[in-house]
Amino acid sequence: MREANRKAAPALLAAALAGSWRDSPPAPALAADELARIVPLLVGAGGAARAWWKVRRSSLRDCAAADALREAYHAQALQSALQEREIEHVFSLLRSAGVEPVLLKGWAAAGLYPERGLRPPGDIDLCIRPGQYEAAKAALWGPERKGTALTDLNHKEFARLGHAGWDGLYARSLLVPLNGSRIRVLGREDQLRFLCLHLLRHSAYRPVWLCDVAAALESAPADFAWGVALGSDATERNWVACALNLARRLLGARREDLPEEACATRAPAWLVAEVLRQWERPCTVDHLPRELMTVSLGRPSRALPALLARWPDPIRAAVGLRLPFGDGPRLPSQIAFYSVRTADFLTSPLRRKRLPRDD
Amino acid sequence: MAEHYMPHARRSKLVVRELADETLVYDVEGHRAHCLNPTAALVWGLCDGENTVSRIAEKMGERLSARVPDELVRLALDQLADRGLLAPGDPRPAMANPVSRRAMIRRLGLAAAVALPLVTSIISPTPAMAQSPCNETSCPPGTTCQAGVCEPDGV
Repeated sequence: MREANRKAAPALLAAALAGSWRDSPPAPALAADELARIVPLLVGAGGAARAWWKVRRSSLRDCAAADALREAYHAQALQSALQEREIEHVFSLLRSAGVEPVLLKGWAAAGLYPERGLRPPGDIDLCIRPGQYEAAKAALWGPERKGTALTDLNHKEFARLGHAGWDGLYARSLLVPLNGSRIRVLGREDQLRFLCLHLLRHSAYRPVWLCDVAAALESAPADFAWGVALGSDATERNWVACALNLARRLLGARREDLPEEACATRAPAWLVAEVLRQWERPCTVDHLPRELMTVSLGRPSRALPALLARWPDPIRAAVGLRLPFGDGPRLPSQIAFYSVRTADFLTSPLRRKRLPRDD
Repeated sequence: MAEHYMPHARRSKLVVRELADETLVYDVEGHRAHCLNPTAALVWGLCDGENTVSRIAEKMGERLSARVPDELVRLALDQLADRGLLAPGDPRPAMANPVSRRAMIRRLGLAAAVALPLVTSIISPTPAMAQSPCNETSCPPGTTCQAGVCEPDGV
C-alpha cells in the first residue's frame, strides 16, 4: 500500500523546490524519508542549496538528509563569491579590448534569488556584439592564457539576433554593481525570455532552470514590458508562454498580472509529462556531451547505441525545428528532427569548409 | 596584560560571504573554509585591533540587548585563532586561569543569554566545482571538450 503511495522522484523534486526562490519560502511538503530519497538528485542537479533554503526553517532541518543540503549551500555560497572575482576579471579583460559583453544566466540569474549562492555558479556565459567574437576570443585566450574561468561566448539563442537585434538587447541591458565593478546583464524582459528559451533548448531536464523562470516571473517589476519578454517571433512567444505555464503548474509560481496571451497559453499535457520524465534524470552528469559521432561510427559496438542515444525527445525536436508546442502528435517532428540532424552530420565536413566562424 | 589585549582579525587573502544565518570564510591561501555562527561572526567583526576583550563584550551586549560575559568573547577568540582567522602576530595572551573548553562551554551555556560562538570547518570549494561541463564551443584554444572537461589537445 505504502509502495503504491510512493511519490515519483520528479514530484518530490517539485515539492522540494517549489517557492524556493522566495525570501520566505513555503515549508517543503515532504517527509524526511522522501527528502532522503531525492538528496542525491538535488545535489547532482544543482538544487540542493535551494532545497536547504526551504528546509532550514522547517522541521526537516535536523534530519540526516538535510546535512548534505546545507553542505551544498555552503559550498555554493563560497563558489559564487569566488566566481564574482572571475567575472570582474573577465569583464576587465574584455573591456580593455573594447568589447562590452552582456552576462547571461549564472551570476545574472542568481540575482533573482534572496542570496546569490542559492543558484549554483556555472561557467561565465557571455553575449557579445556581432563581429566582436575574434576580439573577445583574443582578449580572453590570447597568446598567454589570461582568463582562468570557463567562459562561453557561443549562444545559439542569440545567434540569429544580428546587429539590429543586438542593439535593442544592449539598449535594454542593465549595469549591476559587483564589488568595485559594474557588470552588464540582460534587461529583465530579455532575461526572462532567455531563461525560458534556454530551459526548452535543453528539454527542461534540470528543475532548477524552471526555478529561474519562476523567480524571474515573480520578481518582474510592475512596469515590466511583457511584449518584449514574449518577443516578436510567434513560435518563441508560444515557447515563452508555455515555459511560464510550466513554472506555474509544476513549481507553483504566482503572477496575477500576466498578459492575456500568456494566461491563455497552456502547456500541452504531453509537454508537462515530458518535463517530469526529464526530471527523472536531472543531474548534469547524465547529460554530459556524448562521444563524437565520428568516433562512435568507427567502432561497430558503439555505433548502434550512439544512434539510439541521439533519438530526440519531443521538446528538443519541436525546438530544433522551431515548431510551437501544440496538441498534435510528436512522432513526426521527432522523425523530422532526427533526419535533419543526420543530414547535418553527413554534410558537416562540407559546411565546415565553406562557412567562416565569425558573423 | 590580558585586559589590554586588543584582538585583531585577519582580513587578507580571505573571501567572506555573509549569509542569512551565518558567515562563511574561505582562506584562499590555506584552501580552508569555515562557517561562523552569528555570535562568532560578531566577535570577529569587532576584532579591529582597537577594542579590548571587555569592550568587545560590551559592544556585543549593546547590539544584542543582553549581558555578554568576557569569557564568551574569549571562547570565540580561541576558535578564531585555531582556524587562523586572527591576524598573524596577534598577541593573544594565555588565559590567567585556564579552564577546559568543555567546562567553559558548560558554564557559559547556563549563563549566556546569547548563543555560544561556534566556528566550524566546512568543505572548501574547488574551481572545478564552480564550473558546468564544457561543450564543443566553450573550451579555450589548445584544449578540447572531453566528457565535459576542457583537456589539453593531444592528451
